[in-house]
Amino acid sequence: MTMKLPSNPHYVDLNHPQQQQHVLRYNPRALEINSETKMSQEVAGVEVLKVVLPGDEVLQYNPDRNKERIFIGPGLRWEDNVIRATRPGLLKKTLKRLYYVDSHQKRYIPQKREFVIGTVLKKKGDNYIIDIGASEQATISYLSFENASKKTKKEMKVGDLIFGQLLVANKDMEPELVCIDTYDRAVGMGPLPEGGLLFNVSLHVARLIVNPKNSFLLTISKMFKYTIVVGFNGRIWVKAKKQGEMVAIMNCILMLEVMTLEEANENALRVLSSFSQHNSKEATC
Amino acid sequence: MKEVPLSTCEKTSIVSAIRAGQRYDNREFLEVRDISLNFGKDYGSCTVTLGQTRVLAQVTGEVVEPRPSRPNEGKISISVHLSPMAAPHFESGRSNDLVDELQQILERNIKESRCLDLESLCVLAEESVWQLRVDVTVLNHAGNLGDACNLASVAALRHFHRPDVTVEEDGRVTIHTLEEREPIPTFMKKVPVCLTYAFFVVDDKCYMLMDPSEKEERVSNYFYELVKLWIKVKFGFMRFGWLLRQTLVPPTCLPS
Repeated sequence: MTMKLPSNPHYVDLNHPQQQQHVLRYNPRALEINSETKMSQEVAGVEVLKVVLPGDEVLQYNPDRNKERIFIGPGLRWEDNVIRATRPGLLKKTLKRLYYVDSHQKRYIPQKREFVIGTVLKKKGDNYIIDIGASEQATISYLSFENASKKTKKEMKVGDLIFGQLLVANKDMEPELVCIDTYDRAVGMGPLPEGGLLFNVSLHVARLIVNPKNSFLLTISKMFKYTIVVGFNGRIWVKAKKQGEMVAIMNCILMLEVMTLEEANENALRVLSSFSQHNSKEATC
Repeated sequence: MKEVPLSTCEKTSIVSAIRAGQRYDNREFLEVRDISLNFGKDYGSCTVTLGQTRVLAQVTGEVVEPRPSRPNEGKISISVHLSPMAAPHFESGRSNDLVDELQQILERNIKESRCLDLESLCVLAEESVWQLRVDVTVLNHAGNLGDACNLASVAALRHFHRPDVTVEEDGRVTIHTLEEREPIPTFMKKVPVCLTYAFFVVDDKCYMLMDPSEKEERVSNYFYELVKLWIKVKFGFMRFGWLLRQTLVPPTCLPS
């Protein structure tokens, strides 16, 4: 399903930063941001420009001039020859001249092609109804699993966890999940195994730890062996050998909500060892 | 919005963590979260933070006619509001089981325990008495609302000062403003302290947790609210007595 670019230049669709939405003409001379306000690069390729509040003017552009094109992503809106921010947060720019506002968000808005963890709510005909933490509940068909046919249906109980990819996700339709890719392979998706621990984080924390440039998960793995599944809807599932280890890893990741990555890396080992001391205590009644 | 149901994984992981002696926030089983009380500029306003749970209580007073059955006693009315900013499944306006539960707890703790001397709120017998109105608003729900609401309302009542009143010989009542005369504090003979425990029944063993967080609340089998009244004896010692009722209440959403 390909996205058609809107013909009306005044229409802007706010969507995921990795999806190119709209092409604008950009005049570099009108740029208000100078090099003094640039902050250090957080992750390679993404530059943090400045802090914006809703209504702040970010850029001026002139569509009549044939300069280089730029792309605008979530949190920005183009109106009357001015780009304004619609959310409070950090204005960021990727290498491909994509601008977006990174804001603190806990509630998930479904986006196509994102991986999410859902809870099975009920069965409805040929589909399961799944809760992904969004305003609408998602559906997944019996056949959207690896090696599933009309005779061999995948059985899942109410309350099971499932890791899938969003096939359909826009504001006009119910979101739809699948657990296979285009070649009918599972690629790690499907129902999650028994046991383990599920918890919620803010959306930016989930995106942060999944980024391969961040070694936070590796830091934790020096202490414990564990399996982790991260959903972009803010849900994280962890499984380790002992219950205490899982709780320790959960608290370690929750630290990222209030600390920067560097501070969290320093404190991670200390937090994990304080939990393992507690491990040896017996339960009281 | 309806409340998001818990997955089987979350329920079993909390229970097995408790069996291993571990709580999610690394507390002891009988350890309470950090409590902080913030009082506002006006008399009678108090915000309580119990971990992440946040509750605001505001006490206001006005002069009204007393109840005919009790002509020299003041009145207290308590109301609890659950705002949608506390949790996504709260709806302001719709009557909720939780609102009824919290109001019942507060009325039992404050009104029925007679901790506040209502006769001191009388201005002129059979004509005018003070009516204190306690409005409790839940700002954030992260478990153990009963304790937090109780703490906030008691603190707000103790912080509240009512304006001074003079009664003339001919029966005229003058209510002085706060600038004219020093306001009078409310007198609480006994201080109700509410403690909530959550019980988990696992493998014929029963685990008791104090001050449950939101997830622990939803997964637990039973709740237990213990209210103790601290009585101040004139030498300054604190002695406590057990309150009237101790209720064993199953939580509103049982694991299904």
